[in-house]
Amino acid sequence: MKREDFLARVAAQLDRAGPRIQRRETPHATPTPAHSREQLVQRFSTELEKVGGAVQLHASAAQLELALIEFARASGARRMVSFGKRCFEQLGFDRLWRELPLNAWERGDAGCAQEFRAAAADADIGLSIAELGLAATGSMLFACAPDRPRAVSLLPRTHVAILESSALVPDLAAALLALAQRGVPASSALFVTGPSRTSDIENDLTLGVHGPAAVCVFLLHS
Amino acid sequence: MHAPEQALAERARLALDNQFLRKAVRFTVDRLRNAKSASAAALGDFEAWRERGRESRAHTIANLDRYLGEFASNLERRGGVIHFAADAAEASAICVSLARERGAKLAVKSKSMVSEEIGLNPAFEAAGIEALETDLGEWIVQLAHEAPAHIILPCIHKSRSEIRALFEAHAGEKLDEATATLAGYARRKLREKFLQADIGISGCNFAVASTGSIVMFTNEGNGRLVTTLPRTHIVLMGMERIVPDLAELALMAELLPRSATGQKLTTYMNVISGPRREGEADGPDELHVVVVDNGRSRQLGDADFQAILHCIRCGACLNVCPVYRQIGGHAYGSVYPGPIGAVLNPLFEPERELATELADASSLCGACAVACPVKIPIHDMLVKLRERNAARPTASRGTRLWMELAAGVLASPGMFAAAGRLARFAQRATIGDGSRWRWLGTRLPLAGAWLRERRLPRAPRRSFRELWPELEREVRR
Amino acid sequence: MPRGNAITTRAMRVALFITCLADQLYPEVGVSMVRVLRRLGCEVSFSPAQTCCGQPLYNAGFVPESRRVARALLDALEGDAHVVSPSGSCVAMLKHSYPSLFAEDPGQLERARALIARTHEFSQFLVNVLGVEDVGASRACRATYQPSCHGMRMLGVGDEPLRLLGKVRGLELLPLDNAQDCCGFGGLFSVKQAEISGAMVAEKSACVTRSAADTLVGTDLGCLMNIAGHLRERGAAIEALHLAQVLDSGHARA
Repeated sequence: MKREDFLARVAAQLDRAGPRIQRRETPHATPTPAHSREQLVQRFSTELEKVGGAVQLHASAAQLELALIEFARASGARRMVSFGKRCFEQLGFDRLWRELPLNAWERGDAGCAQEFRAAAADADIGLSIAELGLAATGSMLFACAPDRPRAVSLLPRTHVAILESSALVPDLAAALLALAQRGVPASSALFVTGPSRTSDIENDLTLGVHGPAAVCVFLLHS
Repeated sequence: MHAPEQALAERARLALDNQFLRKAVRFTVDRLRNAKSASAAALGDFEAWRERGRESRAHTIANLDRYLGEFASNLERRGGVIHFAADAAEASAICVSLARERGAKLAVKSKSMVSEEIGLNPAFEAAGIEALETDLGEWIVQLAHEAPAHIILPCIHKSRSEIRALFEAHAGEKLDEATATLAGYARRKLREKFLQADIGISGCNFAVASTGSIVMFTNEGNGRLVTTLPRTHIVLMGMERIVPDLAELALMAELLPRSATGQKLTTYMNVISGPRREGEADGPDELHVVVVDNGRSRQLGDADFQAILHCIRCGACLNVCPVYRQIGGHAYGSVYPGPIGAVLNPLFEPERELATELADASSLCGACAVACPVKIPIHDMLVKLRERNAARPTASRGTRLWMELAAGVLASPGMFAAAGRLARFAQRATIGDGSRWRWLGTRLPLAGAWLRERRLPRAPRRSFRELWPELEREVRR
Repeated sequence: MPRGNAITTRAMRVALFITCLADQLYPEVGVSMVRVLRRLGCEVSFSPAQTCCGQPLYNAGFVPESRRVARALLDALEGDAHVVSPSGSCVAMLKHSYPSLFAEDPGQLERARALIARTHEFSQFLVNVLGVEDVGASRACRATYQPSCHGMRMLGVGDEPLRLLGKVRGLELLPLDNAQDCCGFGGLFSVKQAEISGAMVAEKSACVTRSAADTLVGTDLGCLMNIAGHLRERGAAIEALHLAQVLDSGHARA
């Protein structure tokens, strides 16, 4: 059906009920009370752990890098994928790239994309950087961009995310407000809250059905 | 799947005989409603949240043409393609044609009740395209050739040994019954399919008018795989699933997960705004959104039923419904089960006999209306549906005559008193409380149905109005 | 609303809205109500012109027929006394449905609104209007309470019945599992969808039995008739009483 006809039909039906209400003020939620960064970090960690995620706090990027290497080794990861190296520039990683079996995404042609996808599907760990963390729910925001493939947080068994405590906001309302203020929305703005889960089988909870079975956050908080 | 020729009472009987189903349904709804209560309480003044939810949905639906228009323009601005389908046939034809044009052989699906409404899977099969469900519960019921038993948890009626048997038959390999094993099998098997699929089909919890986005709330991750890996992503969307902007989305995001499963937020909340952008590593090349009417616009402008379009498909009403608790989803024999289904199905399919009967599948206790996070007066709508049913030309004339007779008697105190005296006398003289002359009692109309399960009160010699003169003297002393 | 413990001496005029079910099958409930109200200083009247609120017809979808019966009730309850009823569902019919039932008839609508404004469910009248919780009753029993769905959800009856029961000397109040779940009566539903209703009342009865109470107390006679009827069919020894009967217990006959 043509758009005009479809919408005209909707309008005609609604008009049966009489004159329409004017646009009202978008009701705003009660503003979230101010939180200190300490409180946000605490809350974020508690909430993420509640849904089966893991959080490690590190005071410096150098410490964080060491911890990441240790984590990958201890988990026996044979293969890893990550966002493009450019995303990690500010963190100044060096050893990470040299010591771990890591495919960082590099922009290229469709063939590259296919290869990367295969690598991600085969990977044990996907290393990403979260744009925002939501304290109230232990969630993280990943907005898709050329350097930030979706596959990294989706296909590997374990999803590792680096999050800076300065990127923590109180809740989803605050995060959506931040999103609303951006110009053009990302093709995908994904909020992740812990590992993938289902209770479809006899109401018995299991983690890691289709998405990652584990979510580990390395929180940079000085 | 559904056997629409079976009457409600018959379907209910089948369900009531299935002890495993009944136990599973009770366990599931208890778990979900307790989780919802706890989660709602944690929000603080849940009644205030419900009112905000109601107001938001009411405003949106009352201005649906505007918001749909806005959504369409913004979706296009993001590179998406919009389609409008007047009914089920048109919607599935659009999907089939999109698939054919792209030479698709395999479509992977993430949960979409609209896709069931429009009969998408059979349409694809007929066109030689495999339509594979990927939500664990939906895949299981698809393998079993059954219908889902619950909006949120489709396969609660299946035991793990049944699921194991299904998977083993499918796999040709031996599996144990542990949840992790079964889920692990699903992960492995379906992962191959995601990677091969030409088309991903999803539903949409909400569409944001101001940004042209579609939003999906999921837990398993298949929703993400379906909307990331295949080259073409088709979204099936009921036309009422609009929110004006991201602030209103935030409100819905507080209400939906808590009301459905008690979670603060689902594992994944994906706000998709168009297909992949230039330079991105992955994501679909195309995004098509099919906006489906199929009986929805008929409810607009109808003071009794417009509010049914406020529904956000959380399932909270199912979890508190004492009827659903006993009979589960299949007994409704329709796409949407539970209290919301008892209203939606007859409104969307007014010519289906079983659907119109669903208005009777309720004791009108009102639990649904109280549980609804956006305050839809479902119980009032059920009464309105009964009114419509009674007014139909095909409605029983016998019933109408009895009702008119009853009204005549009840409207006259003299006749009421006389009829009451007579009935009480007859009861005392014959069946009494139902233990006497049982063979007669259980064969009577109406009273018989009662007596099969219960006794009657022993009818008193004197009614209250007969006692009153004496009582009045007593209390005036 | 003030909630006191003392027995009031206000002489309040109360018109009884007995309901068709209590009138014909449970007159003793009406008798208890009158006695309790009398003891609380109310002057109780009863208009024999009343019959039924029209709910069974309305819920079955027969609206014009229901309206006819409702109009007769408006006539029967004309006046300015408080109208008090032992049934949550009948009062809910008035408050929730009469406005839409008479929406097309401004004259009747006004009368309906006036009636609604002074009509009360029994437990709400005692606690919220009379401000009373202790009516001086005593009954040695282990009781469990089944709330009325319509009373709870449409009239907002909350803990008023429990407050009243809590002051009955000798009464031990036991919790009831899933009390908020409907017992399956629903008027004609109990016979039209008898199997579903049967399953609902079976589960409800099991909860009542599990409570280990010897007395089931309710504020809706439809519920009591349904649950008690089911229990009795299975030989259970439990006594089913309306709240009014419990509150009337322990007093010497006036």
